[in-house]
Amino acid sequence: MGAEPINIIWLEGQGCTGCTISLTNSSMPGIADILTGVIEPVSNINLVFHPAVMAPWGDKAIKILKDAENGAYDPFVLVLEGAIPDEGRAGDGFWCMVGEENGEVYTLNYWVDSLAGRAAAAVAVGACATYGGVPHGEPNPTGAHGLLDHLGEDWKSKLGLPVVCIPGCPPAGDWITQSLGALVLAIRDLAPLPELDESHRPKFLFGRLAHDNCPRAGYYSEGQFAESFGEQFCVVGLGCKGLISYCPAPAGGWINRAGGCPTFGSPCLGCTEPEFPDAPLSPFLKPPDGVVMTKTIIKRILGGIYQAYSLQKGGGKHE
Amino acid sequence: MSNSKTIFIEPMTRIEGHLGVRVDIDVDKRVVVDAHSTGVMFRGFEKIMEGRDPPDAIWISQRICGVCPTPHAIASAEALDMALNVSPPPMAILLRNLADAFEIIYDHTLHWFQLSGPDYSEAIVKERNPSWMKAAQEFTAENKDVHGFPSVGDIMKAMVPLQGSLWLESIGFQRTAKECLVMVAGKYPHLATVIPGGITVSTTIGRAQEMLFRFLELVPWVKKMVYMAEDVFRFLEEMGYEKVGERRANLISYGAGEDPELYDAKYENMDEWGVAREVTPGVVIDGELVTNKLTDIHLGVQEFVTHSFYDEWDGREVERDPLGNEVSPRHPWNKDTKPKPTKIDWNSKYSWVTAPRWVYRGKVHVVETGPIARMWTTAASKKVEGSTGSSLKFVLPKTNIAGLSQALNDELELEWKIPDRVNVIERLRARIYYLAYMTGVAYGEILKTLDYMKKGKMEVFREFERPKWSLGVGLTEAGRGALGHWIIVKDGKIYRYQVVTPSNFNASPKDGEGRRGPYEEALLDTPILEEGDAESWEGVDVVRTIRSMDPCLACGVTVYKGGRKVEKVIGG
Repeated sequence: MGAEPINIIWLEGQGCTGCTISLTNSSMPGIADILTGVIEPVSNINLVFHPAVMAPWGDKAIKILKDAENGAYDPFVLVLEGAIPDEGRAGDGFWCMVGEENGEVYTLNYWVDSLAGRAAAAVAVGACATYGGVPHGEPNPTGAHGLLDHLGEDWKSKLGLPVVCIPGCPPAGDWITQSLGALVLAIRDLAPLPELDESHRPKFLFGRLAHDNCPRAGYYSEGQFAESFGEQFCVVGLGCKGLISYCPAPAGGWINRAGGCPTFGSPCLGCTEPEFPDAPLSPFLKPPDGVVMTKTIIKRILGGIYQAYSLQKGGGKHE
Repeated sequence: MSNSKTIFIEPMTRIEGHLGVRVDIDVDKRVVVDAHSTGVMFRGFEKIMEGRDPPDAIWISQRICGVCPTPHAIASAEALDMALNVSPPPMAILLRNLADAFEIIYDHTLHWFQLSGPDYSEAIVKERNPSWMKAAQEFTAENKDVHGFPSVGDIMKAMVPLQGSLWLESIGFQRTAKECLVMVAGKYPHLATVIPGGITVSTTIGRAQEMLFRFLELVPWVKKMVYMAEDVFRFLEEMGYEKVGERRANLISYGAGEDPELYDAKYENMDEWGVAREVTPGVVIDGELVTNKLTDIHLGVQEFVTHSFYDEWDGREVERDPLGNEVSPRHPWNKDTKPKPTKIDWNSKYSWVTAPRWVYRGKVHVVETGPIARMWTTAASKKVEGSTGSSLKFVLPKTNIAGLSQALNDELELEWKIPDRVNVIERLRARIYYLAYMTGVAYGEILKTLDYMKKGKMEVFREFERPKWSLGVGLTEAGRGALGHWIIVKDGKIYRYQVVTPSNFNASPKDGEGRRGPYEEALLDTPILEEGDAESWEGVDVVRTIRSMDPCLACGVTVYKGGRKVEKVIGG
């Protein structure tokens, strides 16, 4: 007995294809595992439309979206990569075109509005599709916004699900495959629906601050702060936003568990947060408010305690 | 003209971003007689960058493109090294080079298997060129003992998107290349660690080994790709594909891969450190190399908006470069973006892409960029080991990986020869050989990293300034070709930030004197080999031509929006 098919329609708006590239970085599960239906519960998942990998082009590609409008691909999960512009500000032109028919332009907005109503679930992948991302950055020349704003907090899919947001610029591939996998298992009644936080992010991924996941957090509590790039200590004083951003990357890595931003001495940019790339996350090298004072307090009190411990081993500050 | 057919292709799938291409075909002669290319998505990056803290440009400008963020990071970092007056330490430069090489290994594999490759897979060939499929099945793959596919038809079956064994397998190898990349970058796509003045983390002997042993898995894979691709190219030549996508050899490359001892980010020394790169900068006009100097090359870049939806701009922020050379009012340092949307008129304004051209000694040249350009300039210039003036020779190292054929483990000597034409096949071939060349470069860089560790040269960062006024330029090679970032810093903030991407060159419309852009030139006179009656043509020769230049429209579209005959916008 094969699983009922679930189709995926992946649209790209004002994006950079980085989320798609990240999807190909996935390993647990990997995108190839999903496409080949490596195991029964996640078999029969069909990527019916994806502009960067699909075989057809032009009219034949657009026909798939038109057929989807008429129910040919039900049930489908609508995935959006990239932001949605405000076409009302584009005069008689447009900001983002996806196909045409006899000289009439289809905008991204047309397809989002038309397909969302039929979708079993709607998933926003990446900073742009969730909350607007860089195109939404000041002064937001095109009125770019994310799917959550576009459809609304209270919007529900045909299956009664709210917009699911997988933020990050881009999200790690495994965040995408694991979130989509969780939805598929839930739709097939094999697992519970993933719980979402108030920004509609799955809590199993975004339940902890980057700081709480960071291998350098120990240095923070010891009062050991990097004063310049290239040092091994906590980089909060160099601008890291890990204290105000929810992200699993510092512990879980980016590809096959390798990598991690502050893990590699780079300040967290807060790319999983709705305000990215604006304040309070940027300027990226400016520490979050209050950090200078906190650093001093921690250094004075906790740093002293750490020194006391290390003296037991006959050492001071380690290299 | 009674028997003509117009095909408008939008979306052009299997590229990065949103591109439309319109061609007019003479059905009787089976040839393309006119072509226009246009991009259809706008975000406004350059406006979003103005007024921000200069270092932020590295992270924001990478978001222009998620397929090729590494060269954006490097071009931005070099523009900022220069503008913020800092020379990064050698270890940082080596690590930046490594990130760049690893990206090419993944990116060119992606192009061959996911973007362009499917056009040569059974899925497309059996529909668009059915007679080829039979021929391919009978066409013995010369390298079958190495890669295991008896005929070219078998290779074509394995390349079918989403299900072919090579298509699926290639995803895993790309991931391995990107795992190597995050050993330097911390994160990918969109690198975390690259900053003005260097990089945020040095390597360790542990991390270097993690990188090296992941990398070694890639080496036999790259060899296998070269062997397979050569079999496919032989078949395409047999099918008479030489004239498809042909244009004259006017090519531009900025070069890539800095010499860690020479690169100091100083404009005054740019020609010296530029020519020492692993990939040699240069411009080729009608097949002849005319310069290797980065100053000549970047000062020659001028943007035209005659056929684009912009007003001409006034004002000239920069009259002379730091060496006293004149800077054109059309140079990116002087460019002010003044969008003016109008309906498309194919005889007048029809694209939001500007038309960058290369101007040298008073003459305006339409230049194409990409792997064929950089292989050509590197082979012709005799500046790197293995460059003979007419070819580039290099070696892929021996490995000893269990379960692989001897031929894949053996050292492989390769030679890429400057071809006698620029067409679809030669662009694809140059990309495969550039992938192999960069694999050799990456191996050399990893060994150099170990050597620097041995010498204790572990420093990766030097402090930068935020000057009252300064200029910067960062020039490198993205997967798709020459990528430049230009910055003006005023009062410690970004005053102007301009990016000219490879697809900006290649996808450009006509300029003021009616010269077509490279996509348009390559399509013009292209024969139609698609089978079936004209009614059923979908433009497979057109998409193969465009994809041979690997469009990246998020890059090309840093400053445009637009479309065609916008009579009515649905969903607006």
